[in-house]
Amino acid sequence: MLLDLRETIRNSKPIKYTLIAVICIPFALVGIGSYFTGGGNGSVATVNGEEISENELEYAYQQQRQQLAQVFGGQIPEGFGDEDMLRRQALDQLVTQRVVISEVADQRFAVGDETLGRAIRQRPEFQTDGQFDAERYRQLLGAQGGQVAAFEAQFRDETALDQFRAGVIGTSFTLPTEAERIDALTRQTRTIDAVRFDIDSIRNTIEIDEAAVKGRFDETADTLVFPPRARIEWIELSASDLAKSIEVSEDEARAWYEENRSSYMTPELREASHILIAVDDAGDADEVAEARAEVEAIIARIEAGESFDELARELSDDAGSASSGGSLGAIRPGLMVAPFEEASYEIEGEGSLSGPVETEFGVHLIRIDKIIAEEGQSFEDVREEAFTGASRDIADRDFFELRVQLEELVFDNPDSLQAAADATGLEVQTSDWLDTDTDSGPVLSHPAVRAAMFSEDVLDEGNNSELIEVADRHVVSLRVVEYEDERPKALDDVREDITEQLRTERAGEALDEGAESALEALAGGADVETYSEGDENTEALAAEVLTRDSTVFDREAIREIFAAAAPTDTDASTGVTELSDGDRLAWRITEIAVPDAVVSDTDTGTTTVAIPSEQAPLALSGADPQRGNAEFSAMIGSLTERADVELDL
Amino acid sequence: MDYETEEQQVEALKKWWAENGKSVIAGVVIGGGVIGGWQLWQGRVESQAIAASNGFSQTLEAVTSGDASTALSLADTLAEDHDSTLYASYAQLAAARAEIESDNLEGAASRLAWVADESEHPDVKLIAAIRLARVQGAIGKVDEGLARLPDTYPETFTGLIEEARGDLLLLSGDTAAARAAYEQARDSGQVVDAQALNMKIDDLPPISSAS
Repeated sequence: MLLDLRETIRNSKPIKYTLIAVICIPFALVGIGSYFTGGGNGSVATVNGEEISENELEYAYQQQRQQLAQVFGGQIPEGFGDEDMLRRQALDQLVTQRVVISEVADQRFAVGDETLGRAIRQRPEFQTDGQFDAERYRQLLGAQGGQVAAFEAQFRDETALDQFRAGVIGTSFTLPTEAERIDALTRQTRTIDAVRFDIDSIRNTIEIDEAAVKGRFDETADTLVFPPRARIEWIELSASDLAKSIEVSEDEARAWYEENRSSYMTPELREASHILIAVDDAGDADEVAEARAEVEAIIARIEAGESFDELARELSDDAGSASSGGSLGAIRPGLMVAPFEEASYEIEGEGSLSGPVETEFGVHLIRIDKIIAEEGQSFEDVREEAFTGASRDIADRDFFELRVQLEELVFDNPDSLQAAADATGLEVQTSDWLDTDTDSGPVLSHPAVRAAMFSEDVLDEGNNSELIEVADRHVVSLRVVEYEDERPKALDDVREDITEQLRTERAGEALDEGAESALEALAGGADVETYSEGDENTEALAAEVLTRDSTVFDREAIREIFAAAAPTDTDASTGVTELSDGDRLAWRITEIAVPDAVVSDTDTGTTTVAIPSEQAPLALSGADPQRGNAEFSAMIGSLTERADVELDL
Repeated sequence: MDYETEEQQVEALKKWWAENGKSVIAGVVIGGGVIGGWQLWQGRVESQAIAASNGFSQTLEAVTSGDASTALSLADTLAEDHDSTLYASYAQLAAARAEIESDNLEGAASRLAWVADESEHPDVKLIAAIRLARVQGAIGKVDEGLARLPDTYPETFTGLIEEARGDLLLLSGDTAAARAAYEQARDSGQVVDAQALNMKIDDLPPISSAS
């Protein structure tokens, strides 16, 4: 038969070409590439001959995403770290990892039993009171379901990697001279004499005339525009508004209380004892009748004065409770079979007996030993809360019903909100002009409302917007009534802004001039107090001692003063700095010093000043992990450069 | 080939064995020897590596616990027995840290020099050279220190090398060159402590407008 087929195909051109076409289809659909790389398990990179698979990259990428999401408290903000970038980072990390692993193998790093043993003994999780605890070691591994051999093999690899890092990071050091230099730079103080020119006091003295304002307006008119604005109609549905108009009846409030009873009341508890006359088959009427008769007899004996407890010990077929006089302890609702529970809650008063009670186990005689009344807050205690709760629940229910209706109505009648308003009893409201520069309250200035108002569908097509959620259980739909594109501002609109702007500029110019002449005076050795005397726009700062973290001026100003040259006998070190509030500061450095370290002696309560030259060199021990890490990452970077890395992306 | 009977087959086999038997036995023996020898060699390499690894981790532990003399003698043993391994270089780096902690900068310098000269690992050589240059700066051998810092190196070492060069140039009194080196380090974005480096730069005399 196969032969026949072969002959037929060979002799028929149409069939031959059809077959070829069919075979081609999968190639056309999935691309030839996946025939060779095998789909999800294909490799995305090769590092020194070792492949990194698509799956590994996917896993690393997902982890990267999760970490980033954690940093932002659950969600990665939009536009932050797009997928390609994160994928690229994940791949880089995997490549680095592979480079290190292959380097560790190339360098013949090997961890023998002795080294491994020491490494394991040093792990705090295997120690008790700082000593290795063999018992604990086995326990922990057992508890993790791990086998000692598998753990040790993995730990051997990790230890080799640790050695590779430790050889650089653990052997790094900071020299005493280096530490002293940084310490001295950090503690350095600079003392300045300065004149501060106050911008506010001078601003108020400056008059700006109309011509100047007009001139500035003409220069900048084409950049002065109002943003686009719109007036809207909107319809608003919120559960809290609905709740306001709901009248809750006494019955509704009580019903609400009953529904939520368990949050206010702990239920009644009963402690019971019982005597059981068991039956083999609860369906056998004769057997049950016999047991019933026995229970009746027991009731008679108790009424005649015999002890329930004694009889329970003697006669009860419930071995568990018989020995303790039939006592079952507290029975919570739901604990016992239904007929037993019902019967025990029907008994009135402590010490009272039930009649015979039939269950699947046989016939019981029940005695109530103790009744612990329900306690908590009654309806009257939480009356207010019950009314509010009921109104909230009703409002929520109404809200969700209306929301569904509204959604359909605004969509089905896209040209007006009126139909939706009429059908739902809501009101169509009309806004004033709204734009992105003005805050018009939490609803009208909500970003989603702004976006909808200027969207193509609403603005250009003239449709109602979809329902926009502006808060929990609070939605709006809107349409645009009137729209104005951006339009030039008139002189009157900006007169005040321009005046203020010009005033600040003029004041700044005046201050710069003042500061420049102060600078000259300071360079010439002038006394700051004398210099600023009688000028109420300036303030003298004499012998102000600054540290690098001083907050007298802003950070940039401090940094500028600390970056200035040291004064010499012939050259003063001076400068003018504009502070962030617009004030100008003309300064002269009078002294650069490293203050003595202050040593407090807690025993004698005295404070002594250690003189630098007599100070012992800083005692340094321990590796410098910060420097070590920098050295190690330089090394990894260089290894990666040299590695044979092929990206197949 | 087609054989008529079983006897003919046996006959042919016997003939083949007579012709080739010796070569087969020799082949098996030689092959077995090679495999055995390779395994022995591998085992030796492995046990050598394990010994070196153990030596290094003991050295570093001795340094960490402050036992400098043990650390130094362990490192010396490693340098003699396993001189070509990275473990030996690492142990010498650890020993250099021990020397510095016992205030023997000259000793540290000679150990770092051994790694910088003898190590077969280019990056570790470079790390040792940078550390050596810093130590030489601290003991007044500024020019020797500068000579240890290469002009071309893997780009990821820019921060470390140029900051060290800046420190040494400053010691030699060439503040303009020091500034250039520091700024190159800063611009590489791979520095040990950016804040400290900024303080160093700020502390230099400003570039004079004359030059």
